[in-house]
Amino acid sequence: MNVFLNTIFNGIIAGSWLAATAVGFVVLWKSTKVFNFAQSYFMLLGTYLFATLDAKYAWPLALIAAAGITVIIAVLCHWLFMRNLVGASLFIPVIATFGIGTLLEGAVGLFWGPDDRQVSVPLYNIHYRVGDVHISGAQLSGLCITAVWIVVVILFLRKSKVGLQMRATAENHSLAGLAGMPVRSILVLAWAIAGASAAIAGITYTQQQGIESFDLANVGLLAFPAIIMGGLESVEGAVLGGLAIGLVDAFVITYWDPNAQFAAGYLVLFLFLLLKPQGLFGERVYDRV
Amino acid sequence: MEIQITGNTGLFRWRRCLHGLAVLSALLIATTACGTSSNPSGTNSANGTLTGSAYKIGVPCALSGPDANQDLPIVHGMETYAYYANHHGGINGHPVQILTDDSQADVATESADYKKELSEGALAIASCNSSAVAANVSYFNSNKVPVVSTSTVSSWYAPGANYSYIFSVSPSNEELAPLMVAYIKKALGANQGGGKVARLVDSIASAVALAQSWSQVGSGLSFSSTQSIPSTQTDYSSTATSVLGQHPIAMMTALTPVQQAPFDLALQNQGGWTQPWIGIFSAGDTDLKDAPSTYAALRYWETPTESAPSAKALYALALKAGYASSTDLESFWFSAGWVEAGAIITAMESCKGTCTSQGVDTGLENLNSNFLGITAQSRTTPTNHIILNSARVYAWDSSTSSAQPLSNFINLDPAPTSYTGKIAGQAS
Repeated sequence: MNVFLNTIFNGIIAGSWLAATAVGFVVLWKSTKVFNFAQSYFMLLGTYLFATLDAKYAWPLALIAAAGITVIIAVLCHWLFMRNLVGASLFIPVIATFGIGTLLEGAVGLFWGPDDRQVSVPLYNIHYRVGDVHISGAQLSGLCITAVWIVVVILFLRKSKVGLQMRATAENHSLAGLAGMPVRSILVLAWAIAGASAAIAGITYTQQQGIESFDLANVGLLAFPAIIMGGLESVEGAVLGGLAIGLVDAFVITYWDPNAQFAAGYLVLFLFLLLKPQGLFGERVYDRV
Repeated sequence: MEIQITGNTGLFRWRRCLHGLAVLSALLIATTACGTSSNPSGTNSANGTLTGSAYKIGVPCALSGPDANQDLPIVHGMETYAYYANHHGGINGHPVQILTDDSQADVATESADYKKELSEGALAIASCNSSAVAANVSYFNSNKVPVVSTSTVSSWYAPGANYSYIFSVSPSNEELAPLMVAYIKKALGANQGGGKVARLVDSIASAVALAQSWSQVGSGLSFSSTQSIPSTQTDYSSTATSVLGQHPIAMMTALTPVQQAPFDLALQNQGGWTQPWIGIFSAGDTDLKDAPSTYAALRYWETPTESAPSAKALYALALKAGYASSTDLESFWFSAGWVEAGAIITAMESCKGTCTSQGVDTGLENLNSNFLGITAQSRTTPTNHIILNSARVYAWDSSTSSAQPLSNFINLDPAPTSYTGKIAGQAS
């Protein structure tokens, strides 16, 4: 087999769910200026919901339902904990998202216990071979689902009226409110998109593994290097950052040491923080005096 | 004049009543005695009921409370194995019965439960709590009660140690490594010099130490460097690419269930695997590499292709038995219970005549005599009490695109539908 080509393909697959996770982060940051450390735990919640529903229903239905429930939980978290922190200093909402993450982790443990769960692997009996590159139905399915979701989010933000309002709200809540934009609804929508992105990322990742475990919450942390690399202000940058980090991870695992996977990703994060902190597509902020 | 006879009439009626009761009782006793007559050889009656006396295994565990999360799956694993055995003729016609009491993981309670279950006829004990076992070693020794445990306390199992009746189904690295390597050598046959054997393990110290043990056996096999996989591994496809890219002639693995499932799937997605492969589950305690590790090594996972007969059949069996929920089967402790029961029931099958505790003990002592068709080379005298019945051996089957077991484990064919599952004498 051609190890190099297969590694590239594996990296793209890994990058696809990282990109979906990163998109959720960035949409929420752009709209609310909240860096959501609970995003990984929304992934965890979404996948455990999926594992439960998947045992009873066809997996596409289970995916939609699990994502929907995760959206509801995300909106509830905003409504209960975050909406009163809008406009607060950066530190307080971040701490609040840590708290939300802890609550979600505890809730998942309470309802489902610590044990791992099996999930359906879509199209598990379908395999393709393009030259030396092996492609499975599950990988294609995951890639398609995350790609469709990412495209929908980008088009929504770019082309729709509500998307334009979200971008305006991200610039300045007060002005957007004065201009008659439904700021509160937009914040709710941002949390909904973040929740859905997390659930879809977590479910597609889990489906490719065939098994769901509590370690998924740590897995989501790999999205941070993707966000910093792409730029906090750019959804497209988050996508490219996710794909790039996926490729970095794949090459580290294949050619070096699986234990270095996280370290490599965070090395990229620190390099960008040192050299290009705004990321590849972020906006550089200048203070003029 | 009307004469009323009292007193004596009542007494006469009472006597007739007593006579009737006596006759009825005699009939009932006779019927019951016939139904529960001990038949040393035991048979399956026409309706599938096992007619021999039940062979009982005691397993006091935490059935409630904070430790139930771990212990209940152990009990369910044992009950599932017993269910399986009872659907396949029992043990020479004797059904297996699991006795359990809620010890809540309290040593004193569990100690009392051991005695209770032994008084109820248990021939062996399966342990959920090594502390309770340790506290009762003298009792087990003096009463000659065999005890099977998943814990590995090295001093318990050293030759000459006064733990004569304690057995472990969790082999240490030193016990397991030579046998796993011997299996690979046997499977490779003349092709041992054709390349390197890949090693893939969980990143915890004990699993990494096992990988080192494989190459230290002095087998003459050539090993590639060990790939240790952290629990946070995200991309198993790249791991599979890396392994396959080395073109190994065989593979040896010690991964956790959470690692094993996606790795198998990734291998399948990249064309499968055809070379010999021996794997165990890493049970994940973090002993220092020089200390024995705790492995309950039944490989039960369910591959997404649902064609691995061991896992799928076990799943269906356990659910049909009503002894496990889907969460049990995803618990390492279910497999621990399965393996404990497997050791005891296999030992019972070697009993001559009616099984007794001593017969079970003898069977357990001899259980290592044929592991995977390889003579257990690590047995020493006095008897080594590490039972090596738990490693799963499998190879890739290209016709089914899945890993198929090779070892001489029980064949989990579907239970016959005609069997009622009743134990003679028990109320339904």
